[in-house]
Amino acid sequence: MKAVTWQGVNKVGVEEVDEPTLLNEHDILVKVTLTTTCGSDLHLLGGYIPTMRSGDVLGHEFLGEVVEVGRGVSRRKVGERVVVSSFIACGRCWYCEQGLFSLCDNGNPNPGITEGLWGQSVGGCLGYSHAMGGYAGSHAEYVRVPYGDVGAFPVPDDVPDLRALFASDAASTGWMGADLGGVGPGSTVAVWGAGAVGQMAARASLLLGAERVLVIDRLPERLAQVREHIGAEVLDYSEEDVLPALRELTGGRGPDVCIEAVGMEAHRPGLDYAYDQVKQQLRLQTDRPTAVREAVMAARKGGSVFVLGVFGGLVDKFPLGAVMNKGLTLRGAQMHGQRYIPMLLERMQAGELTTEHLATHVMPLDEAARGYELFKSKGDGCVRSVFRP
Amino acid sequence: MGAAGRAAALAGVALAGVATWRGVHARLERRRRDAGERWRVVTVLASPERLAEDAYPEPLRSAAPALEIRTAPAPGMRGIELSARMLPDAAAAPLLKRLTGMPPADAVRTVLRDTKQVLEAGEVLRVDPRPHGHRAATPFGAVVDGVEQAAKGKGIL
Repeated sequence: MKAVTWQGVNKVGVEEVDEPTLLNEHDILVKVTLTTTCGSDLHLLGGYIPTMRSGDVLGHEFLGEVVEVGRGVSRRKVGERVVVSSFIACGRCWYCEQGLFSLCDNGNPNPGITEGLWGQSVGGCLGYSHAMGGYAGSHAEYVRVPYGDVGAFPVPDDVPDLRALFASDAASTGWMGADLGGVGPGSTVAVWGAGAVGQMAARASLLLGAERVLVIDRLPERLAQVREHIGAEVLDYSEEDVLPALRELTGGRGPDVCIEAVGMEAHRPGLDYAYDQVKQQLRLQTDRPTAVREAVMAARKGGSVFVLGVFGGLVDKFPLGAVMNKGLTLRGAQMHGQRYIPMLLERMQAGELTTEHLATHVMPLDEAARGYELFKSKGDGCVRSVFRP
Repeated sequence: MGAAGRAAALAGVALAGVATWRGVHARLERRRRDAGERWRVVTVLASPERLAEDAYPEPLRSAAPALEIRTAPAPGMRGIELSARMLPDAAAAPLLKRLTGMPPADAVRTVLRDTKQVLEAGEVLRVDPRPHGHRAATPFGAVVDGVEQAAKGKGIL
């Protein structure tokens, strides 16, 4: 079958690979209908997450049809149209029982790697490096999904593919940031990053009752999407100083909840960005935490900061004093898709959550290299490149 | 800087060197000692009877002759704390090696992790064979392959 593979730093191509097979009794096989690029893929492409191997099949956010089920699968059936959580979780360990599915004890067959990096191993993720399990990803004609009863969800007939697709990861991640960040009725929320995840975090905040939601980015086409499709306000950081602007827009308090949806390759004008770039390129720090720093400084006293963007290791010049002295709650997570996808599909069905506008570039799988180039350069107004295998 | 100053600076550097070497040596010594003797523990969300001594699931059952094993209730309804360490017996390390192909500490970690997975999820998760494209033979690729191969038995468990 055809699959999109990582072939070295900033090299992506389409290759012929073997088809996946069922390996465990709880596995299902899914014929992929749509599979999308994700901002976190760019960290893999750029070599910032260093446990990639040439030939690895990329992709973790997708939709498809169940074509085979293992003997231990009872809820999923062949022929169902399903959206699949990118994180793999057993549904039976203590973390899964708490709804913290991306922390599953049994989803990552390579626990020693992340234990060494972070002190504990976290769950596995499809197509997302050998540190996260080394699973083949979804940018292919077929993908094996372990724990199929737990991670794959039937899509209601009247939810279109290009809407359901983003329940797989972007919408789940965004919703989690708002939910676990503590957004509620009357909240004021600032979201850093107007990519798909940031937009979904903003929409989730509004649906959870936030009174005012501001999204910060520099790309006009993304800010326009926020205004038109999400219904939130925008702040262009290339034209305004974010911290004073947020103080002015929040009655001098600062946002109650700050959601960072940018990750380890943040951009912004200024000396701290140049400093972070130099240190990251010299591998003296692994991540550029520019947006997290700003979120910490912006949050109101006693507020919360939720880190949705992906970070891999160590950062420098982190304002820990602000976290402590302002009494902030700092939280982060990979996404707990199994916790949110059923609810998201209901909201998509009801028309409360629409995502079709995120799929700015839909193309055949064969054009994946072009799709990733557009996505990385943000050329032609690309928010997400979506592939049809 | 006069002669006395230089002597003091040299003495300072020497003392710092000795202190660093002692620290590193002590840490390496602890690691060597811990490799076979330390208790390693996983918490299993399962009822106590599923870890009764006469009902160990695989791979714990096969490894049990090489291990000292104990169980205790985990706080907060989290199941059972399952602890194991290698017995000080000449036959223990060879048995673990035969079962897992790993050195003792890695073998104990692997047995505990797989036992927990069998009890909680019903089977041990597999990842190979998996679809992949061309694997270029590079030094970095070899490192990633080696790290993955050892990953089940490594970590700080």
